[in-house]
Amino acid sequence: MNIPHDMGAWRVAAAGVPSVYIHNYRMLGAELKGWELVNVAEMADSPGAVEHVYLWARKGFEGKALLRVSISEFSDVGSALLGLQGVLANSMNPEVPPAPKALVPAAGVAFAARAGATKGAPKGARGTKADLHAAWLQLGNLTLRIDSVGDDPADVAPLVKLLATRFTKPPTSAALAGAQASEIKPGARARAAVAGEAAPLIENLAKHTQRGSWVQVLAPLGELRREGDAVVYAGPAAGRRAAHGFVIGPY
Amino acid sequence: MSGLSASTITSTLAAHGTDAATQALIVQFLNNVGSAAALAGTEHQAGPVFDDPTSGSGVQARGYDIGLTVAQRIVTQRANLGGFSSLAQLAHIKGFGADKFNDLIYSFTRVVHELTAIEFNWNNATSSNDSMNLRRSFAASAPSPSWLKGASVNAADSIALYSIADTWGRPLAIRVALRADGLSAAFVRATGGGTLGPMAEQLVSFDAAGASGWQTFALPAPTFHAAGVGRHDIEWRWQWRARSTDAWRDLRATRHRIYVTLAAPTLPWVQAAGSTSLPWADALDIACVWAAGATTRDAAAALVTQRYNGCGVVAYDTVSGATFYGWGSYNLTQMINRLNGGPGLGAKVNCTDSANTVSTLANLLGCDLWQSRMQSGFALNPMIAIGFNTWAVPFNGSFSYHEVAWKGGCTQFDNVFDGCLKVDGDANPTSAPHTPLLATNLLFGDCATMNYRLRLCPPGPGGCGACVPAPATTRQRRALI
Repeated sequence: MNIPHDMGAWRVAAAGVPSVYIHNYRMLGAELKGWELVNVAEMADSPGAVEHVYLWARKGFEGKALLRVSISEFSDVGSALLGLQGVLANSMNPEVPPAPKALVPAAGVAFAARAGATKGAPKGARGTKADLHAAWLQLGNLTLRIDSVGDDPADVAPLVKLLATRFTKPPTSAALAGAQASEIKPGARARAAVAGEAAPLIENLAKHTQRGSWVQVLAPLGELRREGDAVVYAGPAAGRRAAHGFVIGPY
Repeated sequence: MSGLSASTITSTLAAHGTDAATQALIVQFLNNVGSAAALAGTEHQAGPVFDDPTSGSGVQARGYDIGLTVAQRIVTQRANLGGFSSLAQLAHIKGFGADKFNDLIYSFTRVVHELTAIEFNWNNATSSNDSMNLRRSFAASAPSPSWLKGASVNAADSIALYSIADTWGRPLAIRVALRADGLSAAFVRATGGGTLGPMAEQLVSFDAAGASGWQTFALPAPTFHAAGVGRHDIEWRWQWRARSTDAWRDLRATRHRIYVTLAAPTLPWVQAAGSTSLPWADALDIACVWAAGATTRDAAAALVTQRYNGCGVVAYDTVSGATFYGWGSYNLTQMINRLNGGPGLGAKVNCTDSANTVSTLANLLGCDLWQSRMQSGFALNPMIAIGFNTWAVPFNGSFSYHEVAWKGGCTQFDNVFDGCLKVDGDANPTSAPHTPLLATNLLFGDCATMNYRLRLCPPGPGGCGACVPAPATTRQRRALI
């Protein structure tokens, strides 16, 4: 009954998916149709992380169906994996199983669990055998944790997929053409970097998020991490060609 | 009778030497008094307008000051004018003659007219003779001073915290600031006071501007020491008189919320001024009510454990047994929100959440509990998890760890308080029938004697043998947010 947190294996798994770096993402209340954002709180479970918890209540269910969404932003993938390890180490169930790969293909490491069938739950709220009631995953520099925390079990999978898509897909061309998103041009040092050299891809993160926007950096290969107020990229090609950064929102 | 003329009012004020400040006090009184009945007072008792014994034929004890009929006319005049701006506007009120106007001037010329502030916690460095340092919540500091004219209305607006152990047998006092008009000194007292008791009269001096500065008032007869843990809403009725032979005149009532703990709160709570870990009133509102009447630490911790386990707003997370209210620190703010009927961080909890809640609220009352774990990966007996009423063995029969509120060194020789689950309290916890037992001050024990450990886990190396206290790596008191 060992807790499945072989960090070496986790690092290998995390290195096998495209790199994602997310900074300053916040849920604002319109993300989940049919649900209402009823509480937001800051947590302090992992050193160095910025962790926000969002509590969503399904409309019309009088607070009985609740989803707790925890989004922890770390400086790099390794720290995010440690954050995920912390979630597991503080759970009493010794056998939380790995998540189905189809849940979040872009996740490095993911776990998911479901409750047994619940009798007496209102029609529509009762979980089905396909439902998941907890999903914990590392995605780039984030640790995401979505749990059903109401009296009636709620499927967390749709929200997990929604967030994973939001974090791993670049803004649409329509969003880029409008005012909702813009691409961040890499700095001169990144443009001049040679393959494998770590260079600041996006500098002055604070400036990009002044208006509540969030920053998304995507790279098919290589490593993204935070150093000071910059996102540093080390990849097989120069940042301009291999990684793309966007300022999105706020939304 | 058509009342006084405006010129008579003006000349009367001049004859009395009534200064602008006193006139303003009278105007303020007339504008603020709620009704004619309040202006007239309860006849035949004195106040709020007093009969001037040097003028007219009135007798104070008979209430020949402003009566209800004239008071109603004054209130009507006020309404017609949209409020008084000068005393000359009292002209031509039927029945309001020279005698009653003299009474009005007399009542406000030599008077203690304001209770400005009350401070329960006047010494931040100690809590032996005054209230302890506290906060309203994690996010909000406590009001300072504790009570302030115009800001404090309800009892919960003015809060104070006393430790039984720290104040037992010691003189207690509060500090009070007052204002007077035309008096260099007056006797002041407070009646009522509930568990803090009344305050004996004492002579208060006023400076030329009418301010008393902070005056120390002893609390000669508090009763909270014998009553144990508690939360008490009290009211003092403040009175004054110019001479020791005068009748007492009401100044005003003040309301306060008094929290009483067994001893000074222990970690994670601190007394360092400015810390966010000063005792929070919103946590005291729960802990002092849950453990009301407890006179020992064990009794207080047991009551907190019982009330948390039976609170009805949280339930065990049977999906993963995950921690929801924090393991790096404890989000007590959100747990309080949940316990008070808000959403908090949801309805699910685990043992860490429960150990955090029990130990933190118990320690707020002066208990000395820790959060500590037993581990790793051990088989379980049937149990009733918090929020459930059926016996079950979670997670295919085992916990990866379990955490409780624990005394002392958190070893097998120390007692536990487990708000998360009920174990079987009968002679054979491994099988039905079961007798629910909430562990409150139950010895953790070994694998030879029936204590908490053998009630939680079955005998054998995979059960009791694997359920080992781990104080070296897990004993802690989490910081609060």
